[in-house]
Amino acid sequence: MTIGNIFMLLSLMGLLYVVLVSLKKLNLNFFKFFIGSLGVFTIAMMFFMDPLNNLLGILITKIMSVIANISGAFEVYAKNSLLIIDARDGIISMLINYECSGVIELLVYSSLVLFFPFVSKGKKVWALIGGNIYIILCNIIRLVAIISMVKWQGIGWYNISHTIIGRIIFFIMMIFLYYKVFTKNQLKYQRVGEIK
Amino acid sequence: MSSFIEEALFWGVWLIIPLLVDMISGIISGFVVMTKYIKDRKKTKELEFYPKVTIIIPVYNSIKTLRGCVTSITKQNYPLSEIQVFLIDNGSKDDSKSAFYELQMEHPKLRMWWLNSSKGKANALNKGLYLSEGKYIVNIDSDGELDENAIRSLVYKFENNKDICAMTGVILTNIDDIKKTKNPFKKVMQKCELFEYAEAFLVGRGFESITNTMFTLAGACSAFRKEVVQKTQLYNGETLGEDTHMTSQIREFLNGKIALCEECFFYVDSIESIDKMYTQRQRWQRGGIEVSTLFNNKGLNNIMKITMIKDHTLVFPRLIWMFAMVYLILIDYPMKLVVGANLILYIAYALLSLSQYFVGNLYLRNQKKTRKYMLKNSYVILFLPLYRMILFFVRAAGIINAVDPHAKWNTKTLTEEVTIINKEVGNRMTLLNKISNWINSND
Repeated sequence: MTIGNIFMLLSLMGLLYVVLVSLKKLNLNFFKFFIGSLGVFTIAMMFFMDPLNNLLGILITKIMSVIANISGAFEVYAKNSLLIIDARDGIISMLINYECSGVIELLVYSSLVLFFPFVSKGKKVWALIGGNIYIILCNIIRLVAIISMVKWQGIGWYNISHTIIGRIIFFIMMIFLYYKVFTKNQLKYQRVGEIK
Repeated sequence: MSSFIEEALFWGVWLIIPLLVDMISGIISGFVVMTKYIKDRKKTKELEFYPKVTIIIPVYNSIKTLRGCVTSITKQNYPLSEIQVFLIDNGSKDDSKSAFYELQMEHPKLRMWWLNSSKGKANALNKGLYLSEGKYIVNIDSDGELDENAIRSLVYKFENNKDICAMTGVILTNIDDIKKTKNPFKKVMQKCELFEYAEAFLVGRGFESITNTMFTLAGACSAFRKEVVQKTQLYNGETLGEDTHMTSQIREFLNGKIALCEECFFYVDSIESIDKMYTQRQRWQRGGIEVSTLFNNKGLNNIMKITMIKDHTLVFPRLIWMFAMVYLILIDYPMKLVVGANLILYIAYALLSLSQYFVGNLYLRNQKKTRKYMLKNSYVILFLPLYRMILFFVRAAGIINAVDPHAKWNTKTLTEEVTIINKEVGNRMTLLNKISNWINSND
């Protein structure tokens, strides 16, 4: 990161901080939530996406290596973040990129959680840690699902499993997470009564 | 090019799935409602006798609207001798009672009583439920007007469907009210509101009625069998969603069927301003969350779960699309693709609204004035996706602001919030100016 970048990062963070402090003081909860999460997401995307992506890529590759060793259904080349699937009708390789690492979903979720008004700080920390682990697991499940489909159905299934089925599985799992973290949490602690 | 498609699908899944859910559910509900219309249209709807009906109208600062509301009762295509009206004041600060005296003089045949209750709409309704004599009880808001066939249609449907415990009327906005509006922006907003209501009631609730999955009866016009409503715990005064709470009680505790009366039209005033809409929709959102919370302890049932997933959970993934826009702009994504994807989405939603309009229009055959007006203004369908997007943000605000421990009938309006922000920006600018002046003076 260059000095110019660091200066820009600090300026943006400072600006966002001032705006958020003001919104908190003014008790404008929604504006604080919206500007806060969008701001943090933007800053994270601009400055931290690549290092985070690399880190997650390594983590996912490591986990996939373990699964590959146990199942023997595919091979992992950790150096190039490549998955090689030996299907019944040919061999196909899959690169673990930012989609597989789930870095963007992770950042979106984390920035929403950071500013969602949880009942306590503990709940927020738990949602942040638990949710991120869950998203990583969802990615693993998605990858395993794609690999299984390709492995047993043939490489012709790669596109449909990767582009459509994998994403739908991931989407449904994410909705479950959002329901548990945001909806369930709010319904459990929603105050009723004391109408002014 | 293939990487473009890949990228578009990567982001698009957050958008395509909700779109498909909306499209499929919209098309199915439209089809089901239309089929019912075709099946029912030839039925003659004659009543053999006229059971007693009690109309409860909670009154709160209603001096301007009470006349129109009560007059619409006197014009009912139903014997006035079988109608009992309770006007129940729950803490008005204006002289609504004088309007009651005048109306009583003008309509001596109308059996109408003025009652006082403690503060709150729920208390007023409960008092009316307790005192009512009718076989059927109809609750209406004091700022709306019943269509002349409204009571007859409700009674007909109750009499011919013994399993129905409660019904909601079709709420539409008054077109005379829209015509009076001068401001073009406000006028389009009010027209959008009319189309939104027509779609929400005639198609949305129409489908829920057929499948017995109604989440909430309209607070502005709902009807009950007296023997059923008196078995409930009455209206709950602790929640902003007292109508949803009553609906849930009938469904949960009494396992009762809740339906839409497609021919009971109730006309309310159009929304006065975006500020009013901002507070109204936030109140509805909080009401829904509160009732789901109250029934949560007794096991969240499927209808509530589905409604909460639709109205609460899915709000967050939709917000992701907003995040995606930032990302796409940051990585210099081709504007053609970004604009194109949004345009396709916009058109898809407009087409869905168009199809729902056609279905809803079938049920407006006896509401000639409204039907004609909607046909003349059908271009408004083009604005509906935009209108819904604005409402989406208001609903999202409702979710976040619902964490305030004290429920308020009226939250801060948008103008109030913007004024607060401007003032704060002004303060900060003053501070900035002071610092800059100080630096300059030191030079």
